[in-house]
Amino acid sequence: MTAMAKAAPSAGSTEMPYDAEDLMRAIIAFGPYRAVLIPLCDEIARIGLGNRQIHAALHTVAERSGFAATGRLRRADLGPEAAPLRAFLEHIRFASPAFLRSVGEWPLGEARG
Amino acid sequence: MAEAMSCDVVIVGTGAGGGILAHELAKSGLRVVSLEQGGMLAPDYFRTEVPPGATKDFGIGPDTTWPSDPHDSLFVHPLFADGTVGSTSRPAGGFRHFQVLAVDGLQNLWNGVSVRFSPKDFRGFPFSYGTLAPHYSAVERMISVCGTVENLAELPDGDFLPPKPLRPADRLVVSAVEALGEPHSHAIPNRKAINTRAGTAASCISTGMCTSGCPVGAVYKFSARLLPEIVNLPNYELRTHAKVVRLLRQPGARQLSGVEYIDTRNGERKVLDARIVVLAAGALETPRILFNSADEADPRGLANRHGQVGLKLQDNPKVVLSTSLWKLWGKRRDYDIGYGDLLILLSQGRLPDGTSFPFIGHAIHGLADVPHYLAGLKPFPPFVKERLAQMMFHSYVTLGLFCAGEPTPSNRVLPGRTADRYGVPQVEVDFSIPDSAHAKMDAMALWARRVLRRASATSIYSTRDNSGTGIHYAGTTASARDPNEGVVDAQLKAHDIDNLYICDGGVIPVLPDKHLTLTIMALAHRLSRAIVRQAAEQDALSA
Repeated sequence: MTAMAKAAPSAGSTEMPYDAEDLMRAIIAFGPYRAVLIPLCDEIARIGLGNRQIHAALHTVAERSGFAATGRLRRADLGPEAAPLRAFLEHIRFASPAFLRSVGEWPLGEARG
Repeated sequence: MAEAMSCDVVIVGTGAGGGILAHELAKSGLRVVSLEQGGMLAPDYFRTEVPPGATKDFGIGPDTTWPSDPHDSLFVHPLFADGTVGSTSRPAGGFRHFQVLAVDGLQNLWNGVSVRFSPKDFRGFPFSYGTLAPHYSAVERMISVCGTVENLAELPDGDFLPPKPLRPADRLVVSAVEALGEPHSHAIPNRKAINTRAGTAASCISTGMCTSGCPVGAVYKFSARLLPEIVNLPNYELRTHAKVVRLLRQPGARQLSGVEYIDTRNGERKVLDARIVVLAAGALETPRILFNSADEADPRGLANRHGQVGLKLQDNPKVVLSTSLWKLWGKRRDYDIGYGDLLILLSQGRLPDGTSFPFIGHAIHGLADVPHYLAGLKPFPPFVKERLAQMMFHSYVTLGLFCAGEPTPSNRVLPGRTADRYGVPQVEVDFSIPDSAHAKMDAMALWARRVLRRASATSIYSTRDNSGTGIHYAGTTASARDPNEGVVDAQLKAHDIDNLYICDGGVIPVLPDKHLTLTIMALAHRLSRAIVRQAAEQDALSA
């Protein structure tokens, strides 16, 4: 766990904080892109926490599953948040260095002339 | 110059109009202060802080939504002002007003499209194309516009740099437009304010898009090109974090004495005296300042004796269609991706009553590093999706088409009931999409589908809008000879105030299909000459 990934609850909440990196790893493990995404888990957790919708989804899933106390997550715990979380992770898969390299467009940020 | 208490000309805003005015007036020797309510972005803002595409954080920001509409991605950027600081409170479901509160304004995210209005487009203006033509030329040279001479009556040529070379996707679209066999349909190289010269520090590096900000300043904006030429002049000052609240005068006077503004860093209210005031704050912010300048003599706001301020708000109705061209499947990129939208499309749509109307647009083909295409691949299982995504990666094309706005009095900006975080009253927007705009959007979408099908389109994703997302706001302080028809005269001087000028999209009385930015700049160039003359006349009188 990194300090950066320690997610604070939303303002006014009395819930315990949860480890966002562990939670993200558990969520990624349910999906088809885990081989590519697990090594990026630190970065994905940081980006997810920085995105309003994903931050809220992580917090809801953590509350629903009791993840802070048990460290366990079932697929059913994702609930309605499964769709945005899946879309978020799929986006990263297809914007990842591995994928962009496969289409001849890595690294990014260089001249394309 | 040091922070002055007074100046010859105060210019409110540093965007398209304000930047050109500041440069021209400061060069003329007048004492000029530019007031900008935002700050200056860091030099590396678009290189490292918020670079375009997926370079940083896979292109995911705080406001990226899941799942997202691929055509909404343009409208999610941390620079866009929210309702706590913007001209409006940005109520949900209302007119979507996009605004960037920083030096350069909206030009920070400008696509750079720089087209002249045609002589026909000036119907409804109190001056002609010929009046503005030399100023178009001057501005094109100042900001470096790339393009080609085409001799089309509906799109006058200018002074151009060479454009970037067309790519396979562009050639498919060009062939598709030619195959329509319509004499009024054209696909020509785009005209953009981009430095296409090789070998300079600000040469275009081909990011494949311009609307997320240019990392090297190849797309024109004031701070990158013209500000460096004047920033050290003793008669020029750029004052940032200076939010103009109201214009100042003796009650009932036809002369302003200056402006009052808030230093947004500490909330302090300040006054700047000026002989001449120019509002170049945008088609919503400028009416806001005028409304907020109401006094006993003009309780509806300054320059509003005839009740014209805020009326006839326009934006271009638009359709956007995206597809994958199967003729490009499996192709690797061996070409310069350039600046994304390398083509201008021009045509005419036909309405149910048999009349026709012009429209203009672009064919866009960029890097799909931010995978907006995933929504279209939703039905496929992951292993198929991955193969398809690789095969189709360089095949995506989007057509975005715009038609003219309509000067409808009921579509308007009016004093609001909210205030921003500084306590400054905001404005509200009453806007409904005219029926004719729906019909035009139908016709444009039909034409675009015909083009895309001929270019080997597969599934087409189509959206349309006319509620602010054109980001071509016009009409709210219209120029007109008759004070009962507009707010400023043909010289852009307020009918009611002798030393107040307006120079932003608001002065364009009838918004044609074409992008308005170059015209705002040309108007600013022309206005700078008039202001220099006026200042000289005042000096001569006082001498």
